[in-house]
Amino acid sequence: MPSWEPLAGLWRSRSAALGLGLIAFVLGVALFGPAVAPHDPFRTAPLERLAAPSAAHPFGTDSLGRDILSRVIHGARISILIGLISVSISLFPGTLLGLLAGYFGGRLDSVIMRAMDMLLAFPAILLAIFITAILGPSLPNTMIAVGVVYIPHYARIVRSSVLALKEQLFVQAIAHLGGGHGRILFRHVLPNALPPIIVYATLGMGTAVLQAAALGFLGLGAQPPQPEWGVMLSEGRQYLQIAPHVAAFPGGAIFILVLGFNLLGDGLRDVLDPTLRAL
Amino acid sequence: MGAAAVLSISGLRTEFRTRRGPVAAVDGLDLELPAGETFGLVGESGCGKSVTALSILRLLPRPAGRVAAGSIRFEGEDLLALPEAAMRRIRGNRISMIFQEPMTSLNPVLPVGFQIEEVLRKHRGLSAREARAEAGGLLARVGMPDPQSRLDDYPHQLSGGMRQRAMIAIALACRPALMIADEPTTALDVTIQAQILELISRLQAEFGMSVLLITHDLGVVAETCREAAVMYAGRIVERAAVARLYARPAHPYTVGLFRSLPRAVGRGGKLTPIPGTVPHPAELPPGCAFQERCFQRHAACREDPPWAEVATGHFARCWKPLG
Repeated sequence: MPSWEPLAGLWRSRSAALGLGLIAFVLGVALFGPAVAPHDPFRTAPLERLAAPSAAHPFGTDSLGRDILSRVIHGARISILIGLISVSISLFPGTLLGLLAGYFGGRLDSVIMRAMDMLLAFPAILLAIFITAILGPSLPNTMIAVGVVYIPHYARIVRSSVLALKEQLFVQAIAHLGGGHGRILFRHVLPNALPPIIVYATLGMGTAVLQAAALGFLGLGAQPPQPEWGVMLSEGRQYLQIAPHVAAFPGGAIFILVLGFNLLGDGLRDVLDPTLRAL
Repeated sequence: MGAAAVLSISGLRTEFRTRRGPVAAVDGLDLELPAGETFGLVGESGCGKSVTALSILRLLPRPAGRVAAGSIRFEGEDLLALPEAAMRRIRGNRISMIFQEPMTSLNPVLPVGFQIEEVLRKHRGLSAREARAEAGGLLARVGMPDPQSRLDDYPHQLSGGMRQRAMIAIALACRPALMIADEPTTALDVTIQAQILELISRLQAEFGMSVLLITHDLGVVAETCREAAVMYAGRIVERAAVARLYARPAHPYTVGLFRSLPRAVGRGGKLTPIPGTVPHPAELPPGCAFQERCFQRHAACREDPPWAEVATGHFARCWKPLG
């Protein structure tokens, strides 16, 4: 029976618990928020444009008079999805490539890792801009772009774990006992290589949200009028002097979610590090 | 050597690619393993014991290592000619293996029960429930205290001796005809060593299997084997029944091994080490590989020494065998 005991350690670490709390909060908002949002996030009201926070609009309104609280609430769902989907897009192919490269080595390793090096040679945001420019600016394309950019990171992490693991006696023992490559790779090597990528994927969620927001900010990601936080930030930029709340609230939301993922990721690293784990 | 052979190796030559060209780690090895007995294969590190085991299972590190010549016959088949899929059905099933390091030979993220069940499910096609019952039974047979509840333990929750017992249970799972034990007790405390050796002997008799015990420890051989062979620089240099080998070793290398062995009885006697070191396989002298370290070398040693029968069932590869 798998033991969840180590995860209890997350509660003991105050910062990891805070991270978990922040993520749970945003997740709750994403799931139930749209039902309780005070206004329609798309309804414009030209007469109420750039209104400061008030009882009717706790976060104020933007340049078209839309309710910022409602838009931030709807944006939570988009951001969580961006995190999950783009991390999946990098996690699965990256892990598979890393497993194959590390385990089989030789020419396959060279081909895979040189391709990864080519992707890594570009600054992440530049490559993401490049990919969205080719695919066309839209939310799904943003997720693809952000996902593809981080494939090499997972491939490298997994490959280095596999290189160490395949020399371990227990991996060789499975071959001695008649196990084939598939069994060795997926049932015995992969689970041992998981902890570092769990940590990296958690931190990666935060990075993905940030990258997607950056693309949205640059006009290459989600398109207006979608209530994506990066797009909202970009719209608010022009009114920073006269109505700072337009940019501040989506910016704060991004901050909270990314902080949550980072704290949780750090906490997971402490918990999953086998050298720190007590028997 | 009355019993039929379970495994017969002839003319085995295993090479490794190096920068200096192919080097033979095992060269011209002939070995008949008697069925239903424990056979000792003794030698110092680097003499080719473990490479022999890897050659039998065809698990040499690729692409560096390969069997260049020879045949290995097991249960009527030449293992070297089998397709890989057939070989996988033999490994862990008809021939199984236990290792030196019980600390690292089990997967740390899976319960030991799962690892035993995996072999049973794969090779014997048992259902999950049957495999679990059988795994509990196996742990009981290898003397694991409280076997049923140990099934759910992870390797780090077991002591070194218990892990080696679990490893033996895995090796035994399919009732192999041959179990290769590569230095099974080297990493264990002396008291645990004795228990594990006793366990291997008992299981060998119970299951009627053959055991190839690979070790550098002459004491281990004396305790468990009826017959043993001594290996030096990739070849077998002497073979005899253990009692005979210990009483009257014939090859100067074997004699040297015994002289460098500390004894618990008596005191004051100096140990006599064998001078020099094992020559690198690429730099073997022509003829006898041991000549440069031998206390009785002479001109003939530059020719390949014959495999001479010193006494009935006692062979030595030497021009001037003693004993």
